[in-house]
Amino acid sequence: MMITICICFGLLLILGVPIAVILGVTTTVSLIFFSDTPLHIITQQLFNALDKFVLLAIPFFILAGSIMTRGGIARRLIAFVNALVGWFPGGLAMAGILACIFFAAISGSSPATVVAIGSIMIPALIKAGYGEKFSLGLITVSGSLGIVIPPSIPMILYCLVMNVSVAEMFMAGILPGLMIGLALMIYTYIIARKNNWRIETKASLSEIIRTAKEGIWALILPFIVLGGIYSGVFTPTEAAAVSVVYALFVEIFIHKEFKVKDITSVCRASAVLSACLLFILSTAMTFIWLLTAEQIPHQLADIIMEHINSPWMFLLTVNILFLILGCFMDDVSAMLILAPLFLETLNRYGIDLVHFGVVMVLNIQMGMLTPPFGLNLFVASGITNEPLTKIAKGVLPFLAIMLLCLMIVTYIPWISLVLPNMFLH
Amino acid sequence: MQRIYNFIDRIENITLVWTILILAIIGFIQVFARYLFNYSFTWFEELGRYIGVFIAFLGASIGVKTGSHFTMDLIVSHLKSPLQELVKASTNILSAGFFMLVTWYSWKIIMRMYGYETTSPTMQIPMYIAYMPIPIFSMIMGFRFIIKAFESIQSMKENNEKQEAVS
Repeated sequence: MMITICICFGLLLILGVPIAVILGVTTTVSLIFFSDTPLHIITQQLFNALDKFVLLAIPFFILAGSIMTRGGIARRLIAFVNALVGWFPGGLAMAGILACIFFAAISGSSPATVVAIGSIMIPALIKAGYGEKFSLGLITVSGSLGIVIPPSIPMILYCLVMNVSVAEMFMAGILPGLMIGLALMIYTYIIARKNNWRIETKASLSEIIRTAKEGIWALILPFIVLGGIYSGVFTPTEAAAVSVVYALFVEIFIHKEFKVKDITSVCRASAVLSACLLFILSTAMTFIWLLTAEQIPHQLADIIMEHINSPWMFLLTVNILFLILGCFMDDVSAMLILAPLFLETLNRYGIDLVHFGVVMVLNIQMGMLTPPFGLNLFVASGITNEPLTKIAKGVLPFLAIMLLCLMIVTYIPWISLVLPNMFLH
Repeated sequence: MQRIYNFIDRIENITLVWTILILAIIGFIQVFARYLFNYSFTWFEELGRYIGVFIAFLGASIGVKTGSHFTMDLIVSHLKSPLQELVKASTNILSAGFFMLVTWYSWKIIMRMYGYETTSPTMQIPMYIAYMPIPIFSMIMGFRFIIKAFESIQSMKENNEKQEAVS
């Protein structure tokens, strides 16, 4: 049965069938040939997979992200962080990283972060003489922090398929995200010193206060969303609902960036995208239901335990597997299918599911920065009109840093687990 | 004809975006109501879950039209002309077949629920209504994949004619 599933899946993938349909067809085929269960179970499973309240956080966060991308929140954020750190060596680049970290804390998607910060910051960096390749690479990579620093859409998806608490998962992403941000800043500092990039004049205190005042609506949002979740004022789904309404209110009535009648056109593409994500989630969960019913995760765990004798080796294998799989399908879909398959193995090795979730998210982040499915590369190419290969080359030196961070996070679970253990247990 | 298509497009998009937004606004009001008036809408969670099913299937059916579903088309898009269209046509027919199958079995489940008069735990609405988006939009998705298959065949014919004209 395992072989049939693999062949069916691989063949349809190569032929270019949408991944959600592949999962559905593979499930149907296996049900017909290997099981006595009537086919209407598929409908039941599709419904059960979607019948969860947490799942609504996905369209909410995606919509909030697209509203903030179209609006003026990003511009005001950048003005503030630039006044704050612009006087450092490589100050404008530092401001770019910091702006990405901040935007990541209000949006759950990394393409949204690249668009929001990149469309302003990349031209500004190039104009200030930071070099095209460096500027393109830096912001494309920093923007990918959008999914590591909470809120994060891939994390919610992971929690849904693995039955992990979203609040715990979000908190686990904070330190790894900041660590990557810091690593990028150190690298920028070294490069800036080497190239002797000019140091802008220091902004006065009054300038900082002025930009902070203008950016205040953007600056308090992370505290509302994350503070609200961790103080128990609201659930992650409600936090997502609050951030949509907040973003709409601020952009329409305070920043006056667009009007009520523009809402549909602003949100259309991201609403469809979020629905497609929900749909693939429901077919993936139907597929996983079938595999679990047929004991496949157990069989897989037996095989893995036979060949790989330590949890560290297993995690390394998973990382390599994801780097390879990233060349054949997007990593979010790969995670939705593979993470539940490994559930039994993870339990037997005693690997913490939250820690594994962070490792998964970092793998997805790497996947977003590497061709052929690197969503961030496409997005950066779209906003700058530069060819994809040029951006991929700019990203290359940063990939080494990301790989290093991935290894550190994989082998030191403490980084992911210290915050949730301290505050939530 | 084009005007009817545009009209359907607009209705679909407006319904999808505003269903999500209105749900978010209710969620927002709910948080405030809970803390200010100590009043919570018990029906909100259940309604949200069922609307989630509606959002996913409505959006997925728009996604078929706009090509937003995640696909690995690197290999297919590099195939030579008649073969590429042939592969596309057959995969679209396969997808259409899958959705027609889902439609059929969902319809059977719904008829059974209608017969047993099952209702939801909190709001007491009939369960077949919550399941309704699945057969309706699966059927639409099935039709849209068939249309796509026809479009592939059409463009294959056009390419053939062009080649004949050249030679």
